[in-house]
Amino acid sequence: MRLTRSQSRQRNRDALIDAALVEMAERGYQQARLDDIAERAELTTGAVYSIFGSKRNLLLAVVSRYADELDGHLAELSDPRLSLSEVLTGCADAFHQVATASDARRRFAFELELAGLMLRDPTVLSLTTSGRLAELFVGRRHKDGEVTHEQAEQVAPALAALLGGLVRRAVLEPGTVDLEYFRRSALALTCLLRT
Amino acid sequence: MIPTVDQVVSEVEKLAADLPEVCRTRRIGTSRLGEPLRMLSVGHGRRNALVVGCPHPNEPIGLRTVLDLARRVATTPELREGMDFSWHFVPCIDPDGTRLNEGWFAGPLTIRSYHENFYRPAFEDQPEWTFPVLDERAFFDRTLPETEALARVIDELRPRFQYSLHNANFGGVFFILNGGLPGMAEDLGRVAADQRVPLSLGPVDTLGWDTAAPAVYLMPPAETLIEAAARGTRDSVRHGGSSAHYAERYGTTTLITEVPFWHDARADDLSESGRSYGDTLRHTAVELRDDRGVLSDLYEQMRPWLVVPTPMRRSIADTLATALSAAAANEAVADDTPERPATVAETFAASTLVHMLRLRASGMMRRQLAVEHAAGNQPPESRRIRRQVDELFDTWCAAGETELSQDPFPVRQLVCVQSEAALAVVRRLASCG
Repeated sequence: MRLTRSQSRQRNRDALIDAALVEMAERGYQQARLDDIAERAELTTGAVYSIFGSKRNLLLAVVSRYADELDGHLAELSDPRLSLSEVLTGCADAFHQVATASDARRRFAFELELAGLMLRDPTVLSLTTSGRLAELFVGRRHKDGEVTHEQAEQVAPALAALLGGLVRRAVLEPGTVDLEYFRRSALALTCLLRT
Repeated sequence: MIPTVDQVVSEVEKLAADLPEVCRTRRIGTSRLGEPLRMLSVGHGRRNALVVGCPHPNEPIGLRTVLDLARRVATTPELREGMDFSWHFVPCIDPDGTRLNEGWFAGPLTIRSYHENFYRPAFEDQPEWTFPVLDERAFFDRTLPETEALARVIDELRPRFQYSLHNANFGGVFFILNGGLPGMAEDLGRVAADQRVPLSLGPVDTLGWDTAAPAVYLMPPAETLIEAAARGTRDSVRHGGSSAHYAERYGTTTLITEVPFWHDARADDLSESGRSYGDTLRHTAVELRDDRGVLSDLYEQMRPWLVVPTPMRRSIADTLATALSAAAANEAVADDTPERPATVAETFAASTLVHMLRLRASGMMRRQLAVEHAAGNQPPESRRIRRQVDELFDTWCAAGETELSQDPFPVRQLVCVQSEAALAVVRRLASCG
């Protein structure tokens, strides 16, 4: 079947993101050659610039794809009937799933590259998960009432940092942190609601 | 739109023939390709003003300014003997390089037409940046015949005023002085305002330089600039001193006026851009290095197939080195700049550098491949690379056309800025005796 122009562009975009993911994770951002990325995607360097505008934007597109994957895991937690504890546990499960997925090492390598680029070019927007997590918490039931906006803003950055750190540990030292540890750590952060 | 080398030489000779009582021409040297270098002298004042056209052959508005200014001083005694000045014009100090740009002189001036026909010599091939520097930390003595010709003229005239005619690309005008007198820098700002050409309030080539007034920069010492151009590259010395540095031994005031080709309202917009200045510079450094990586990969693939000797090859390598030194300069200034918001003018200026370097390098790579293929040297690998370079060039032209303005200033307006700036500075010099 013939693809429309926009379908073809989307297919090329996806192919370049797939290729960038492999090349940048293997060689690092700076050493990854756009020529190699394009060849892996069976496209040209010109196509990279035409679709993304720059190598940096291609990196951001890969990051954005990872963020979308995590969003997929978190989507089921938007059910308003879930309590705060259930949402915290669900987040822990989502991050644990990322940590134990088959591409976890590559993803971790990629996050290190992103951190390196953010140090060199601070205009790279930090696609942190804490903003999205905060939205999940607002209005949730807990033993002293419902989570306010201010409380959600307190808990979310700590949870993102904690679970991100646990993912790293799970990747670098497999077997040292299990799903139960992810969950207990996440639940321990409810103490931040009191501040 | 812009006269060719032959047209300028012919116009200058015609002026001298029309007004023999105040004008004379003579040969001052020979270009690398054997073309005579001519100089027009006007008037009989005791002090000398030296005006040099096309020190950078991709910056030719000065060809028309030379004709305009020469005719004005030749027909206006107050601008010569009235101020006790003789004027000397070297219409085109780099005719060989300028001829390689003539493909875009007829206009209309678009980002594409300019870069399709673009040639800017490597530093080592520029008369402007190959004056000797005898400081051992930055020793340079590979002078060119054109540089030597100009050095002889400077030695002979010991000019009170020297004027190097340059062009910027995008946005607004800026000036460079090597000191000067009180009030001069403000005069230059007024000239730009009178001619309705915005000032370029974000630095491009002058990042980190001191200013005497907005968009009026003070030329740093040659050693400082040599060190900056080498930073981040494999070479310790890429160029020598400028004509301004050379003439300083005679107490010469040198002015450089960089008039832009294309107008952009962001050039003098001092509102906040929403980004910090340090972040803006670091972002530019990453983009410069990324583009340089792509271009350098392609050039390495091209090189084994190249057989036609052209100055483009040195220039492509030099442009890629400039991307690295510019990235290093951006990071150095970012590290030294206290945290503050960047203005729109600053973010605009920083972004133009990225567009300029990639368009220039890919434009010259296309030209080199075109002559190779026209000469019959077109193996499949070289044809494949050419398709890639063409595609990149097309994409970058489209990006430039979208993100930058392509609204050219009338040449007449730019010539007025260059001419009036010279007269403003000479009037100050004349009045101080």
